[in-house]
Amino acid sequence: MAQNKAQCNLKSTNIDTKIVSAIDNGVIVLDSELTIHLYNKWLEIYTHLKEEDVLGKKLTDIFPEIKEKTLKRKVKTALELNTPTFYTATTSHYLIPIKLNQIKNSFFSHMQQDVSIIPFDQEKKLVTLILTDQTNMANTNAILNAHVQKIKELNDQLLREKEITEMQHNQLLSSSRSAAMGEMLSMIAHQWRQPLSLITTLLANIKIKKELQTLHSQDIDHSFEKIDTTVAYLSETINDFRDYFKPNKIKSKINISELFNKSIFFLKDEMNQLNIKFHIQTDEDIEITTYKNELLQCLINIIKNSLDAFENSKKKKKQIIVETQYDNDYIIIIIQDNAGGINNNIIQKVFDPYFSTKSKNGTGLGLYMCRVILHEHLKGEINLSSKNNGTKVAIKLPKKI
Amino acid sequence: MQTLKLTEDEEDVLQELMNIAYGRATAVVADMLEAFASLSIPNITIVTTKELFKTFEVLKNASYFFSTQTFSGEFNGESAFFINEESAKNLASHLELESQDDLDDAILELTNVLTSSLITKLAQELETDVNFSLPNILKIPLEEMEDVATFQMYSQVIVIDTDLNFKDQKINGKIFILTKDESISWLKTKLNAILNQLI
Repeated sequence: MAQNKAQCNLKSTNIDTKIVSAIDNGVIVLDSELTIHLYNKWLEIYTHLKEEDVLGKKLTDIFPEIKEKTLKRKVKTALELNTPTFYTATTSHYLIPIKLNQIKNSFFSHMQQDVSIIPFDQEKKLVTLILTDQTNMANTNAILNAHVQKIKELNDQLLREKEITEMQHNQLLSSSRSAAMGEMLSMIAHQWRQPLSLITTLLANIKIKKELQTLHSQDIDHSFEKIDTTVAYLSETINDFRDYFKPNKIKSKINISELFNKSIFFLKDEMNQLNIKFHIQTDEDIEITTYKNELLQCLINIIKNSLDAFENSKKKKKQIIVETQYDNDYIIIIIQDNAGGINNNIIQKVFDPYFSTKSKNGTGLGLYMCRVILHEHLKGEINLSSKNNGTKVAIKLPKKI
Repeated sequence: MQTLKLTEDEEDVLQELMNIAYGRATAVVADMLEAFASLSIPNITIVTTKELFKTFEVLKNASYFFSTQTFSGEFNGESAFFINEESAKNLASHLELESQDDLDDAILELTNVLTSSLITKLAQELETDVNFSLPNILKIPLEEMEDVATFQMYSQVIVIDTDLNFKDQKINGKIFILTKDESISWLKTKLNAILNQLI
């Protein structure tokens, strides 16, 4: 036992001195005038200065870049409070300039140091400075900060791009509306041609009869009556057109079969010309609550696509069938035609913006906008499939939004 | 988690000890700033972490520097020091500091002086030793302070609110001494020992 204790007692071997010399920290003993009283091995190695050359000299004379005022203040505070004071690598970077030439810590040219100033002997006014190499940590922090900065920049960029996309999206929405309006105008022009020519004929008749002096008052009455009805019809067309382009701000309850009739009202002239049969298979009294004009725009767009497809078709029995299915929460509208269908190669792209098969006549926004409106405004879904020489579009809508 | 509360008597003793410790800090700060300085009689309160966040709510209106320093030993915890931007500027101009790093360093020094003088004195009275780590400036926006998980580790917080006046300039700072339940329980025992001696 006694032998063991003697072996363990290393006091006689000057262990304190050995540790100070072997430790992986810089150790300096200073007095309050900053005169050096100890300079350990670690510092000798890093600063290329021998202890014997610096002892008794002022630390700030050896390293003139040290701010004397600050260091003196810290030493004094440590001695007076009898508690350590510090320099931290994060704010002060280093006290003793030690140049680095490292690949791994490339952010810094000098060793980053934490320095503790520990009161050592209050009577003799001595403090011990302990330097710890924090370059690795500081370098990791610097890399981290650089990355955080980069992430912030990327995030800002992303937000800006999102803003731009939203703006472009809104522009698309309004340009698709203008395009739809243009199409509607040409539909109205179609529908007006016949009633206008009827009015012209009636007026010409009256004129001829008057010149031939065969004009009877009942002829005039009869013609005026006809002109009256025709003008009323023209006026109704205009009202419908105007209603349709008034954006709906409020949801309303709409009858589905009325909605179908309205959508073919705009298109029936063209349907008649192309000899297309239009079948509506739905319960008379299904109602949903939604934005009416938006849904109407989608339906007209989809049916118009079928009409355009029939234009080049030589099929004899042309038909478009609209049917509905529903449960408690949803209604499904299915619109199918037998106009030849869509090629498998392009069916994936039909909802892409600016994709069109109608060469110069198409904007490529029709179905894209249908999907946007259905998804985002009407909280619904749209699906398109093609087989047996026909196209089938299914729209699923909540009964109430 | 059960939170330990200090009794009124225990709070009184602690306040008294803090006042003594604070007096000592004044002299050192005055010396550090090379000007006649006076610290206002500190307003000391003990609050729960929850209540502490309410204090942060008030601080959000101004821009603050926030630094922390941990202390270890039988009595252990962390001190947090807040100094508003205007006060920090006053400090910088008084010490003729040139860069942000110099200002950060001065704030850390102030943190260290205030924390260690308070805690050392307290430890002395409570007959224990403490060790201080390096202080640290945290750049966390106050809005995110509640998300700092470590705050949740602490149950009781000793809040010391003080004004530091020197010449015509004013520096206002707040120190929060954050302690865990085990330290509070230890503190209660020690405070009661002192109380018993007084009776």
